[in-house]
Amino acid sequence: MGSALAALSIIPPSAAPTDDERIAAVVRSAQAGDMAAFADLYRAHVGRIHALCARLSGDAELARLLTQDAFVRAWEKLDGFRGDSAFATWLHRLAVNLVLGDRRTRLRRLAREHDNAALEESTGGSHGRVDARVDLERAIAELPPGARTVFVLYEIEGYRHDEIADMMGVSVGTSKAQLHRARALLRGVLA
Amino acid sequence: MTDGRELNDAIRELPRSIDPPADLWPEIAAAIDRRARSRRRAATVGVLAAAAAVSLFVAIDRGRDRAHNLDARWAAGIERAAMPTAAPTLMPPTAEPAPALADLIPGEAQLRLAANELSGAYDRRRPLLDRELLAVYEENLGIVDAAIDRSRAALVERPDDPHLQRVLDRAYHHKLSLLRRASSRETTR
Repeated sequence: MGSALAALSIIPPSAAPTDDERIAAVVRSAQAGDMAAFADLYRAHVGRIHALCARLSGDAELARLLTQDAFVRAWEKLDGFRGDSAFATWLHRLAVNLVLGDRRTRLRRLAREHDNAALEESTGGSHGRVDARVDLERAIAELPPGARTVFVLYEIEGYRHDEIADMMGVSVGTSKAQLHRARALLRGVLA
Repeated sequence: MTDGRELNDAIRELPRSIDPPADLWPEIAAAIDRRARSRRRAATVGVLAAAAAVSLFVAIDRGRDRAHNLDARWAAGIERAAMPTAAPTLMPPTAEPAPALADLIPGEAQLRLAANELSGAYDRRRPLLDRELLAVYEENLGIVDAAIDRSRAALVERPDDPHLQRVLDRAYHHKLSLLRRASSRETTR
């Protein structure tokens, strides 16, 4: 009897899969081509990805398109997900790279017509004229693109400066300078 | 919100998740379907092109074989005409049975191994392939396998023929390419 109790005591209290195991199983199903499983992944992550796209792009319509594109790309690259990181982390990184790539493409296209430096300032919107009553979300959307990207990735999404520098193709110093600039602008706008 | 602490507090209060104003899934599913269809079309075109290339090599090789045999018969006819009194000789059979797994080209064992591994992956994908595409792959894999068999048989007779060696090598690579495409995820939907 004693040995039976001892044996029972090492049985885990519940054989139910953990959240991580459940997510891993859904990812495996999606990798095998199960579209319904991928729809579950979409529903679980669309809020985070849309928030990221909206803040990085500062444009609601563009955010919608980027969010869609992020999930289409995720489906196409799903075979490449090996589970080395959490699925959410992998998807998040994919979305960041997509948004940054999209911005680079747009900048290159616009730079053919405008001076690049002027573009960086002008596409940031009229942050100097923003009403003091607008909320932080709106103020972030009005930041110049470079400063906005660093601010969103560092302050909201929790990336480190070296990771941001790597993703944006800039130096760590530039990333820190952009953050400083973003914070100064936000403080000024929201004062 | 003039000092850094207030800004930090405000940042902490920002929601980490913001749902889009409308469900994006229908558009995402449609986009995935569109891209999959376009890939399937591209894959089918690629398969047909690969099969056509292999068939062309095989046809060229057959033509060479035929020309080679005609040359040999023509030369033999001249010899016989020159020596009408010579007694007919019984020629020994020239073709030895093909060695089953001997390498006829450098690296053939590795090519065969890669093909076997990809065949395993393809077999696992087969239930997911749509029937039309599966039929195209099956037909073309059959063509490539036949090309490999014929090239090997010809190489047994003429093991030093560089043209035949190239044909066999290309046939293997066509097979690998076909299997790779057939077992990739993009072709399953």
